[in-house]
Amino acid sequence: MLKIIMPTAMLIPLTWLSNSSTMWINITMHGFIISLISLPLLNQPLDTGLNFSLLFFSDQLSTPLLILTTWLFPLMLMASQHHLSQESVTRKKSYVTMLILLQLFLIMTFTATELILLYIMFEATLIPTMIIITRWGNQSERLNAGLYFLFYTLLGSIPLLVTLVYIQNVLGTLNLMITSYWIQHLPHSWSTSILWLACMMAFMVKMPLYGIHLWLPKAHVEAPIAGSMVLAAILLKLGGYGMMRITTLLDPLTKSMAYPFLMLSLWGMVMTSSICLRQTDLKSLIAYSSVSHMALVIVAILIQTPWSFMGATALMIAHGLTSSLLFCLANSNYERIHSRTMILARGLQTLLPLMAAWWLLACLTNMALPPSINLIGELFIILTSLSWSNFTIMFTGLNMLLTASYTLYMLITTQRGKASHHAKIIKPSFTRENALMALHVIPLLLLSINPQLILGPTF
Amino acid sequence: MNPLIFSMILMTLMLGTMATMLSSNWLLAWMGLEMNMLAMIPILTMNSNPRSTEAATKYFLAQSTASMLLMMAILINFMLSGQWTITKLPNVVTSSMALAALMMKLGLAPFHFWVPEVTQGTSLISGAILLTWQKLAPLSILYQIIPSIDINLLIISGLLSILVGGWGGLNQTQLRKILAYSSIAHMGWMLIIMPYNPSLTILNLVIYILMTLSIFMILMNNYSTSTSTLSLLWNNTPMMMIMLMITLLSLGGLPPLSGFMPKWLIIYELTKNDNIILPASMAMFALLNLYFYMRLIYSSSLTMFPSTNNMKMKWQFTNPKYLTLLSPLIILSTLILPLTPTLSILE
Amino acid sequence: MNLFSSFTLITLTILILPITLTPSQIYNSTNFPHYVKTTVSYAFMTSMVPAMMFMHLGHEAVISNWHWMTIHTLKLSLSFKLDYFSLVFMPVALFVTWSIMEFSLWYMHSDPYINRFFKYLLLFLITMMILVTANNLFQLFIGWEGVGMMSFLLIGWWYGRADANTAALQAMIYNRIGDVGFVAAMAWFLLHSNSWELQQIFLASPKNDTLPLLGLLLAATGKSAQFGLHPWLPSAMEGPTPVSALLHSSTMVVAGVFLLIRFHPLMETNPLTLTLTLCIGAITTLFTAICALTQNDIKKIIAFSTSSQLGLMMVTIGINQPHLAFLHICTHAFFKAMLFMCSGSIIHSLGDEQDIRKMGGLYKTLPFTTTALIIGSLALTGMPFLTGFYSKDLIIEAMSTSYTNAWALLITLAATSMTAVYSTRIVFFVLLGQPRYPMLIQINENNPFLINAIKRLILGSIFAGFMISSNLTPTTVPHMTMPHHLKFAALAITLLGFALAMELSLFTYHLKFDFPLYTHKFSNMLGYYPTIIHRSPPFHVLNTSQNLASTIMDLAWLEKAIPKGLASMQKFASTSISNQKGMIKLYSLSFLISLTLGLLLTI
Repeated sequence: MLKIIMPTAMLIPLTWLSNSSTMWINITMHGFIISLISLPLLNQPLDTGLNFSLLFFSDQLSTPLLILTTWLFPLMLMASQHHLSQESVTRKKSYVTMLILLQLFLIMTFTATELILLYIMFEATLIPTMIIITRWGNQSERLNAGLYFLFYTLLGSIPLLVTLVYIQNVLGTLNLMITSYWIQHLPHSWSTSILWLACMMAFMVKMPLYGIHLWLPKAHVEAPIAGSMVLAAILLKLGGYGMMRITTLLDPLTKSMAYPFLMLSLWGMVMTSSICLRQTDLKSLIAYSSVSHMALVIVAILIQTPWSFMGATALMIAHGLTSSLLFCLANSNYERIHSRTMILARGLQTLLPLMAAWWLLACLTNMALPPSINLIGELFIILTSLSWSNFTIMFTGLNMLLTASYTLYMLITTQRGKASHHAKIIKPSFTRENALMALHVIPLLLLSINPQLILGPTF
Repeated sequence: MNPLIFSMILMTLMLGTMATMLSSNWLLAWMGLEMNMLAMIPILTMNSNPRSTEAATKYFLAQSTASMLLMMAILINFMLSGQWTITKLPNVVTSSMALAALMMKLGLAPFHFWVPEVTQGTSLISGAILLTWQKLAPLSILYQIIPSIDINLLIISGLLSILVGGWGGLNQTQLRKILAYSSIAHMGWMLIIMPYNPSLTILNLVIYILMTLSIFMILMNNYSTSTSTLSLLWNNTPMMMIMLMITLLSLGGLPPLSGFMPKWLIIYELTKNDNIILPASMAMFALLNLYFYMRLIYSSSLTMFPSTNNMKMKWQFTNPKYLTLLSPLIILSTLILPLTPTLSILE
Repeated sequence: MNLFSSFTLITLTILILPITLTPSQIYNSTNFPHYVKTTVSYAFMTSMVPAMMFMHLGHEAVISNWHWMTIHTLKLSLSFKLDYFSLVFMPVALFVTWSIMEFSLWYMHSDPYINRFFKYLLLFLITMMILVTANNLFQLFIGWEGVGMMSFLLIGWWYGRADANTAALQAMIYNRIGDVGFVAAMAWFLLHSNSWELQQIFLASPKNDTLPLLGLLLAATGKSAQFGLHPWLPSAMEGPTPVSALLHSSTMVVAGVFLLIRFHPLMETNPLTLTLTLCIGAITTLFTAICALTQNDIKKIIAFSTSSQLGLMMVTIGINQPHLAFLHICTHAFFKAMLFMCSGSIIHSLGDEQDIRKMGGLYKTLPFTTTALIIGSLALTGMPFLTGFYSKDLIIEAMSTSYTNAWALLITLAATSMTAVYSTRIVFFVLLGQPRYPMLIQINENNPFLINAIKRLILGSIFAGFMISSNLTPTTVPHMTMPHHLKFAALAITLLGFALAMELSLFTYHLKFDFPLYTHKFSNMLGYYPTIIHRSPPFHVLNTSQNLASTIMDLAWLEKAIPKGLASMQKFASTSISNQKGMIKLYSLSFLISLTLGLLLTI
């Protein structure tokens, strides 16, 4: 794993020693090289994963997320170039440093063997993200958003820290490779229920579960593009990843404890989707759509079957790429229209036809059209929830319908219609932007040919 | 102040602390505390103005109350046990009285009221000494008598300190007061872990001192004492503001900064002793502190407050002050979390 | 016989070729539409080979599998099922598409994005081919959603128009309601028979399969615009006419019926689903026929007639005659596509005028279109020995001789007579009488693209039914004997409809305008269905989402409960705990109190 961590860390000196004119290209290229080096990890010959050291390992669950992280880093750089163009070189470099730090922490989170290391790195991602949101966001609401982001996560994760430490005292280790063998079945009692809650709550806040999701729309909306991308694509997935890792410790309890959260997720999925129907703010719509998709992932993880884990992993990756793509598109609109209000960007298909094609593809994947991996994920989740209870199809079905409605509403409002007068002087789309969208779409398309790469450990 | 006199006072201050820490005799230790307190008063009034005089008076009154209380505890103890050696205090009354006295000296809730006032009244450097060096002597005595102290009292007052430190700081805009409240909260952590693992108290103290000192040094560099002056420093010393941000986050105990290490180890130690709710609530209350640190961070480094145009050029001037200690202090106060495994010798 | 799969593959590959040319210069040339049209004609020819081989050899089916992935015990494969349905439908669809593409060359020639239009049509065709050849629910779903999405894009082709966009959105949402059923069925089948392969599902024939079959019925209802989910089809007429001709008459809308045909091995053992299908089909065919009676937009009339015919197909499935339904799909494709092309020709000639009240007397100026329109209408009404007759008559015969409920039979018959009525109405208003259009329009239908396209379909409308029904071995036993009155029922009813309509039209031709009857309003307002369904539920859903989900929950309760609530608690605690007085007597008091308390506590 060091072969990924060290180059990532060395990106920081690269940033600061680079000439200001070659800085972007240097880091972006090295970012791509790092993601290239991480690709061989997809070859997982063993069921138990590749155990490299006592500290780091990777298995079928963490590898796709890891590669998603390394892949998104250069994309974030590409996306941020324009909105940073007015800033001084030092600030650009500090911004990039924050992104690099974030990637470093994320890599370590996804590959940590020790749960406490996972926790520390999980928390560590907060600092650079918070800085990115509050320092480089656009509106003054960003300050509030940063606080919400920080404190929701921290409030959720402090019980986790205490519980992890407690588990370490009981089991003697928090090593993921060992705990799964040492685990005793937890009895049903109030205290074990609280233990379950404490373990899951941190990740549920991060997912986010409906009811404790308020930080997400705020943070997504206020963050600069790279922040939105990394939040939607990876930071939310930390929640799913953590839940899948920690449920092995909580074995028989999940079955009974999952009920209220399953219900809440199913309900929240519909609620957040219907919120999307009434959004006028493009980024807020995408953010709420993330909440609704993540609710599906929560449902899948709580159901705890091999198929549901497959669905959850696939949907996490798929949603990571899709929502990041949507945020990029929203940002490219924002940089031209200077507003997130959708109606102001109407009729852009006439002016930017290629961008409209990307919009179309992004919307199609967001509403899970076959054969995209989003569909594979959603289908598996709907399937497992149907096997859990037939009635869930009411919610999942309604959510499918609402997802299609708001996605197409977004597409139609931003792309269709007559182009408005104020939009006639906008810049054409840059090659950089088209490349950015293409680099999101290509993995989505390629993965749909061979989805078992992202079907997780239960495949 | 005359440098000679100043150095003499400083020497006395240190000597007092050293005497307390090194002596095994109650009287000598008490004398050390007194010397230390008396030497502190001229330091507090270094810039003589009514505020500092008031602060010094308050400090003197609070500390002398504490000293007298401690003396009384010592005397009762001498009456009961017939010896001056610092060992366990077998009697409940003496131990509680000694605890109260030391808590007064340390500024722990519910004896904390003087801390913010006194810190606010003095200059930054005196404030720094007050919040760091002055904790050493009382803590060293507490360290020695801790086995005989009622654990419930300790925990109640520790939790209370953490809460007071959190809530009190929320209401402040003055930096010295905020740091005083943060010191109260940190003292609470140290107090709670002391009966379980006193070495962790020392560790926590060391890291706390490192962090507080670096923050004070940054503030001293800019002569900023309130949030509003802090918010104008982004164009004056931009790098230092970033450092301030990281140090404040570390003070708030956010991983992966050093401030997380004592918190983590304390939680670990407490859960080992079958305390689950206590560390959880302590950590939750510590978020209050983080909140007001975040406010400082927002005004200092994450936003750019409007300022006049000629102010914006100030960062180009070289800073005449040369703070040798600052960089190692900041490094120590932010980056030593990875050293945690080597600290297992403390257990 | 690997020739089946290889030739089908060749067909598919030929179709994909122009799409792959998108990045090249050819895509930008003005000849691209012609290339696409030629490609489709080649594809039609290659697809005829396996179809003829199939007719000749009488195979049951050829299934080819390519392994995609295995998940636990489930093997997912890319599998093509080449049987009666796919092999016959492919040439039909390709033939119709070929003609429609030629027609589009004429109709869309002034469109700046005609190349993209052809690419979309081709993409649609490919997804349709995937749908009909799929042997796997997942693959079927790819085609299913693909055609839905392409229909969205094509309906919204003129994306500057608000109407086109709403129609496209409407189509997608109604289809999506159906997709819920499809996905539920997929999930159920995977859970209960551990397979998505059609024949494996049929072999396993799981018990209690009402739920998935209802799901499939819902899917078919959505896609084939059956009653309840029908309003999108008339709205979809906002799209260009070639799109209406291709998607909304001959290919995409029959996908729902096609799905049920595919699943007939399960359907036939489930009486509940069969009855439901029958009822839905019967209601649809009558309701949409009633709606068609009073419409004034020529495309809307044809759209409703399509919907009515789709209802008839559903009825056929409901009486468990899937092969007949399939036959009707194939024959219907020819004449309905042609009717749309005729209407396109008329609309284009009259300068985008769609209202039949502003036409009239076109038999003089558009003789060729007139011929085609009349042949098409006659074929639609089931005039003997035209294409429609071979399927429609059989359906009605099968219905009247089967043990079905008389109610469904009666309303289907009524709808059949109405078919004649609205066909007459079109002919009467559009072709006969005096011209009611502006004087200065130049009418010219002498374009080879138009003539050839329609000509080809005229031939199809006359002969296709005969050729298809006489070359394919019937898979269900036809009714050999029946009384005369049943045999002639369909014809009689149709003739009755014609006569009635003609008589009424002549009667009312010179009447002055009067306040319309309630029945007329009912029909003209589409049974008030869109008025009710398109206002109240969306209003309530959107209101709920605004009020409940957004305002009450997110902005008020959740905000108040966690962040704001915590904040106000802390604020209260903070203000009450901090003492800013700075008075030393308070300190001393606090020292005293706490010391006393502490001592009291410990002692």
